[in-house]
Amino acid sequence: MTFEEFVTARLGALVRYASVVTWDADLAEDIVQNVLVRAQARWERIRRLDAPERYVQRMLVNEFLSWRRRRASRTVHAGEALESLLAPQSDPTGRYDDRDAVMRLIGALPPRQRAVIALRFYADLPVEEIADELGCRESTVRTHLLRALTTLRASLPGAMLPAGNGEPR
Amino acid sequence: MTDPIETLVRRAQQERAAATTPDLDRILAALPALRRRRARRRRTGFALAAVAAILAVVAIVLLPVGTPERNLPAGPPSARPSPTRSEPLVAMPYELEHPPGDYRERLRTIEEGPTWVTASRIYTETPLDPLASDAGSLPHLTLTVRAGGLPEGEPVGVGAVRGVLVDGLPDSATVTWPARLGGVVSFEAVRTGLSRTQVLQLAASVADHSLWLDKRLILGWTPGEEPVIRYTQSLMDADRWSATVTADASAEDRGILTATLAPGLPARQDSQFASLHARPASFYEDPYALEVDQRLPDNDLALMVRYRQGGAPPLTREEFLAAAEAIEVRG
Repeated sequence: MTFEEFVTARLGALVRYASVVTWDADLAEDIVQNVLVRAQARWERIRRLDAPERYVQRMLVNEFLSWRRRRASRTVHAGEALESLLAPQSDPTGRYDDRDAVMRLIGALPPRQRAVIALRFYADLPVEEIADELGCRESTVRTHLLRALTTLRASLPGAMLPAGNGEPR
Repeated sequence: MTDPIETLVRRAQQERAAATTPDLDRILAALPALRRRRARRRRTGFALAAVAAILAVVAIVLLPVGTPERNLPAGPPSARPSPTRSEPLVAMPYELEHPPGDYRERLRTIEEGPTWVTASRIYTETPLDPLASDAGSLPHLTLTVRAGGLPEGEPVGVGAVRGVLVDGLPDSATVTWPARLGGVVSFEAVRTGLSRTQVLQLAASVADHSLWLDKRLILGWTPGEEPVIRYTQSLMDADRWSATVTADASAEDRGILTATLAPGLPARQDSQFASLHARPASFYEDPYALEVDQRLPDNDLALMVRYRQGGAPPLTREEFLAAAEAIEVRG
């Protein structure tokens, strides 16, 4: 498969994947562009892999995590955002939009936690593969997962959450 | 049973993906300009890489003729973890002289960041994998010395000093008290089944000697500006051990360099011939990583060096082998 054929076939899926990892549509497009330029430069090696798309997805995650360091101003600060969400708010429509709350809370997670939950729940990767992808230990991944889910559980309206066990698997 | 919060997250992610309607034509149209910009940056990067390669060679030449590692003072220069990142010894004065039951010291770790050093001894009942970097899910006891103060917790007595007990996740307890020479000592019991009283008694029994942890491998080159360097030594039995050092610069979008010294050489296919210190070695390469393995001449140990590529620019084979040659083995 040539690079052009790969891009034609998979660009939409890559942008969607990036948007789940970054939770920012504009940033997702920027990151996909940067990664594609880098992937094209090494395409001869990448295309021979068993799963070229998986490798490009891996590049996307690493690009996102390095991007946030270069563009700190674009990073949502979890503490402030969560604080505003946690404060009692009156809903002008009289109806709290649960789905919107989940969306906003995920967007307010620290980037590495957001990336980990994207890899775990959207890409359905096991913890060991996530650790390999992020270049950290499995226990670190489990900690990110636990913290992300704990934050979400603590911040979501109780009505949205039936009782359940929160230990990440 | 799936955790309901996981279900909510999955649903939100799927909705986020479905709601993403990228302008594919705009993305494709921007690629040529980005490609040209990348080419300009790479030309600048090559010039900087050449300077770095020269500096690496200078470092290799200088290492054998006079570094702190090779010119140790007669006695311990200081009795606390040193912030100097190339010190071959790190103070770890604390030790469990009488571990309970079948617990034995299996792993020693030293972790160095830009401004801190942490040293640990890890005790488990059963041996760990020779390449393990932690106790994983096994029940374990950990003694750690680190910088910082006491955490919030329940005040307790640890021998003659005042410390703090913190209960963690189920069956986890940590006792922390001030270290004699600054910083704090913490004794952690995880999934051991020990009672609170037993944990406190063990903490109070921790011996305070003038002991040091050795770094068996010292890197002469590390990726990034401020990598976190982690040294581990796995104690298999009285005479056998393995050691690993990892310099992790992934926080700077750079790679991870790992060197392991262990008995035996892994059997692998598709190796290429390489040379380390003018002796034959096996070299492997894939898009993610570079690796070189070599059996040491005077014992049954093998040195395995691996570099997991980070962001651009990737390490070339020549740069990687220069970094591998700059590793000092302190058997």
